[in-house]
Amino acid sequence: MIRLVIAEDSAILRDGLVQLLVERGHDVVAKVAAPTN
Amino acid sequence: MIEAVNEFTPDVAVVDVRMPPTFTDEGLVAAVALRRSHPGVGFLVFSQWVETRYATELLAGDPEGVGYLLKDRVTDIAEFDDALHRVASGGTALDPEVVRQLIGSRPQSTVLDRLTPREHEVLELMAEGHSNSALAQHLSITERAVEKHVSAIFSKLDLPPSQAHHRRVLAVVTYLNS
Repeated sequence: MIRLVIAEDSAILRDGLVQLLVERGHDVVAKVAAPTN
Repeated sequence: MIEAVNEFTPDVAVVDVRMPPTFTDEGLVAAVALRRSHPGVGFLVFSQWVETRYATELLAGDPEGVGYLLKDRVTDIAEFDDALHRVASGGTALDPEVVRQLIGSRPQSTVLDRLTPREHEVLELMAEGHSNSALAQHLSITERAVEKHVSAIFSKLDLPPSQAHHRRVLAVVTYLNS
């Protein structure tokens, strides 16, 4: 399991990526849409 | 992202190069800055097109725990997952297309001219982040043969015997900077 932060402005791509990575057993600790929140 | 990395110290941050507000290189700029302040965090950036300037910027200095993939590559989740593991363990994961364009943009005469075509091939795959066993499989040769090529590459690039992993990184740096 890898602990991940996902930074992607496209909501569709971001959420899709999160879903795929969680299904692979990874821990997405944060997902953000911009370099600075 | 900066706040999230500061708060959670993840194993890897997956970052789109083009992000708000201008959608040019904000994601990359943040990743480069965070690499300096969080050397233990891997950064896997991705973009729609190959942008060699961005790749060079990200890989400048120490290319450990860093990757650059095209967005198309993300659709192959197994390949993307493999890249994530390589970056998380301190390796590199460069999109083959990024490597090809980096080679195409290098000067005509470099230290890499000392290498044979096969050694070029081996070094190119090393830059993508492949292990010796993966190299052997990819090139349909034995691991022993791969080790000989790698040893010849180290020698021709004047990399003195030291820690094997460190020499591997230095070879990739030489390759990318040439």
